Amino acid sequence: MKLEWLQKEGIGPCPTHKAASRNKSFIEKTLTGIGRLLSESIFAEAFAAADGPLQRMDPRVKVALVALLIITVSLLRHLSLFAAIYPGIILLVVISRIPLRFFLTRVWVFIGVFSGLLAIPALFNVFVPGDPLLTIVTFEKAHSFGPYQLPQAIAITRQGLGTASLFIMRVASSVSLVVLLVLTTRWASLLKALRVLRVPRMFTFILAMTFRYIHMLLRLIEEMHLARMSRVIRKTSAGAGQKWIGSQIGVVLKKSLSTGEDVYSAMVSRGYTDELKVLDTFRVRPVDYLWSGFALLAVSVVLWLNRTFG
Amino acid sequence: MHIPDGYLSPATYGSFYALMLPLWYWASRTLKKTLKARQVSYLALGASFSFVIMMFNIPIPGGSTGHAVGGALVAIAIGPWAALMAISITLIVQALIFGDGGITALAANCFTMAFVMPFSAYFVYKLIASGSGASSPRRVFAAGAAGHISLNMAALVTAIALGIQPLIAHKPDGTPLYAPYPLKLAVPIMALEHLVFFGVVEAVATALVIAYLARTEPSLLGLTPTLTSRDKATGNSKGLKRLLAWLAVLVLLTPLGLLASGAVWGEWGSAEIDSMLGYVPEGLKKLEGLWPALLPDYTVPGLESPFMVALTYILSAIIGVAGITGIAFLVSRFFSSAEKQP
Repeated sequence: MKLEWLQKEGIGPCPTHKAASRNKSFIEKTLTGIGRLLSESIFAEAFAAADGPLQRMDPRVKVALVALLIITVSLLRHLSLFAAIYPGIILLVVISRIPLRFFLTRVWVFIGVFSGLLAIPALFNVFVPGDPLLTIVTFEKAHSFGPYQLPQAIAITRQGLGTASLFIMRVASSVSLVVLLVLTTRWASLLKALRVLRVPRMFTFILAMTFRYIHMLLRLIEEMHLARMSRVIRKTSAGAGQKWIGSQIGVVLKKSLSTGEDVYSAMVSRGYTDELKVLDTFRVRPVDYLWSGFALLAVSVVLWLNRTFG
Repeated sequence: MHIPDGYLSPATYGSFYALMLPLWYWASRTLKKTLKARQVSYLALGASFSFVIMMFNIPIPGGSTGHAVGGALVAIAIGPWAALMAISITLIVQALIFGDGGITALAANCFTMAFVMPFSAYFVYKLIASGSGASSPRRVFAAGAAGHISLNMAALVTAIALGIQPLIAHKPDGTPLYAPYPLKLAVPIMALEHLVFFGVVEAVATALVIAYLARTEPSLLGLTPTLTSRDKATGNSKGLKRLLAWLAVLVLLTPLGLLASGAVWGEWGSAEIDSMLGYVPEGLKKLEGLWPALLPDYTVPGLESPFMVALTYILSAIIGVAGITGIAFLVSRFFSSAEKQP
């Protein structure tokens, strides 16, 4: 017997499991969700460990530059500028040794599912008024329901096309930049590097701790769900399921509060005195200045063009 | 409810950052006093809990599932100020590591889910449950109501933030630059799905967890540091109810303002000043336009029928009253926590 899926790289459920449970119960849905979340964070760490120019960049410089770029993206008013910067982002992905297909799937599936669907109605003059480009249906007369109007001719408009494409490209560029940052930076460094955005040290410390305990609580929830799945053989009513979920959330809440107390005791017994000492090993190298200069130049040019286009 | 990057214009997300910075500052001040050195571990675990609560799929009759946001539950369990910090931290982790919600929109998401939701939930819960026993049905109902109302408040603020985008940011030919749908679409759609579906899931989850905690660990519902100090502060609930009734009457009467004519004393625009004084002061000319009103003349463009105008008046009044009450509440909390220190 050939078990091809076992030889595949990466993490995931076996395909027979997928086929058998098309109509998933709430328990399976939760388990799949947790599995995806855990594997996602493992994947991200693998790319962050690769040897690329973005991975070698000082995380503080990288965080500051990505923040600058995202703000720039939020200021742009012209589709042509997005067409100019998106290849630049793709280039960064390629030189960081992130598989392009993986990157594009991750960014564009998210955008297609949420923002893409959201943008489609905006094409039509029913939702965003404008100059018609392509008429779809023509009624005898226009209708109006209270504050809502149904125009006589339903059409795709120039304004609608403009807003939808601008909206999608803006979301795509921002999401791509964040994904690029996340995939090329170890999460521990990423959270620490937030200091550069004036996030207080206390906050970055709590963030790092939060990330760690999220994993602990996820394992706990996973075990609780597996335990139930392995002991229940028939379908239960939604009401019984809800009651069980209520008690499980309660258990996790109690567990997290008591763990908070335990962790505090452990910290105190190791000499913690409300003062944080964090090991910072970041070092800005000449190449980081080069990156910063390059990014500032690019941002200035793009913003200048944005201004000249009006 | 997580707004991604690219949906909000810089003016909007900037305003949300300006709103959140003092809130974060007050929250960390308050927590430093109530929790002292244990705040690090307490908030880290609170934030981890706020994160994982969204992982629970809750079965809904008919085979579908949904998940709760958890803002109400976290606020009831650890108090609204700790909830503000814990949920903000969760949102940062979600935005940075899991790409849920934008970086520029982070403050907007924190405002709706870490401020509006926990504070309104806490207020509703206290209002309904105050004085009831740990296991009384009133407490469970209060938790459910807190979940439903607070999620809808947060959704309303989100919808308004998205709905004003085409008004404040568009090209000369009318092409919206950010989220494309106006208020008259964004608000009803968000309201409908949250009133009918997500709000119910939130209510069920919050009520079930509170019922479970009341049964198994009643001390948790009254013994967290922030909760006990707040309990004393809400002793005067009769006066509060009377005040709320008066506010409701006043809000419903706001369309009466339509009958009045002319400008309100002291709220002249430059045109009126010109006709009164014969000239417009230089400084005023410069400052006008610095603060374009969020809801110009308290009505929303596109809603012109008399009934809709009256409705927008009432809506504006509710938003205004909620805003002022919120600020007053914050200021009073700020001073009362400062006084309590020996």
